[in-house]
Amino acid sequence: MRDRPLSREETRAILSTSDSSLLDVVDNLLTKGVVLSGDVVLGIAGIDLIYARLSVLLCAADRVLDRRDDAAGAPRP
Amino acid sequence: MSDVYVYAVLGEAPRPDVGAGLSDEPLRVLRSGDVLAAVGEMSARPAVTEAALRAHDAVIRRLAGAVDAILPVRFGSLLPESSLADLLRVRARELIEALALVAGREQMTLRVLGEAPAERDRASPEPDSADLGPGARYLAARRDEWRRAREAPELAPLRPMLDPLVRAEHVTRHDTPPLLASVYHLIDRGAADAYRAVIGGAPPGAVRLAATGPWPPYAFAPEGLG
Repeated sequence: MRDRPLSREETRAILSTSDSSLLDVVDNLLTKGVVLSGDVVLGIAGIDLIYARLSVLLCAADRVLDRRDDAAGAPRP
Repeated sequence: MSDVYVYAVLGEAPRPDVGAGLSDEPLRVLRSGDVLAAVGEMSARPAVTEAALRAHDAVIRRLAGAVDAILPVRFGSLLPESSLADLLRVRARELIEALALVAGREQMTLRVLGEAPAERDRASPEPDSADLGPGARYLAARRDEWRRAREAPELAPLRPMLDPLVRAEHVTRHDTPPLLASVYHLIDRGAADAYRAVIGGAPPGAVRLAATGPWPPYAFAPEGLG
């Protein structure tokens, strides 16, 4: 595990992934859950970028899945 | 007294074989009245990395498999043990109610994707607001806005099939096409296949639905500070 916060580029790389499970993990762990510490959000580096990119990356994942479905001839849900 | 990193609030002690925390630290249970917290000793808040996020999620999943009711705590919650005990005591009633809601249940996450926000989002104010004064109209508009932010009208065709499965629902509207909304559903453990079958059977239309899960009930944990 890294012992330093992610750089902006590293955060962008994570958030550009089409791995929908990672997107859900980011959504669940950083925007949900019991808040026990008032400084928890302020203490997380790059949180604003994460919020800003979450929507974009979810949509990117959907487009990737679209192409896979089309290539496989699978019906759209 | 040292700081503790808090993973989850629990209604019961987990089995002893739930493994270690995200930094390989031993997990232990701190009890305050009827509420328990799963914690690990840590000297500094972990950095936000993919590995740390996945490790934290793995701990939550192991704990969820070892207890009937779990409320995940937000990533990065490091605080003095005495402060945690105080918070658990002050928020006991709220946490016990939330634990009762999630007992024996888990979360499915539904992304609603489409090209435009739902038509009703652009609807005019309710007719009776015309008779109101400026202040009341403002408040009515805020109320409607608040209500719309917590609704997913796109799911209306699926409600007859979804309602028997869904025990609670939280909606976050994004309205930034193509991502229109995130809907978090609390379902009974073991009902995920039935839930996915309902979503998979949705008729083709203006929106697409993408379901993931089951997850521990992250979206059904109370957020506010005590």
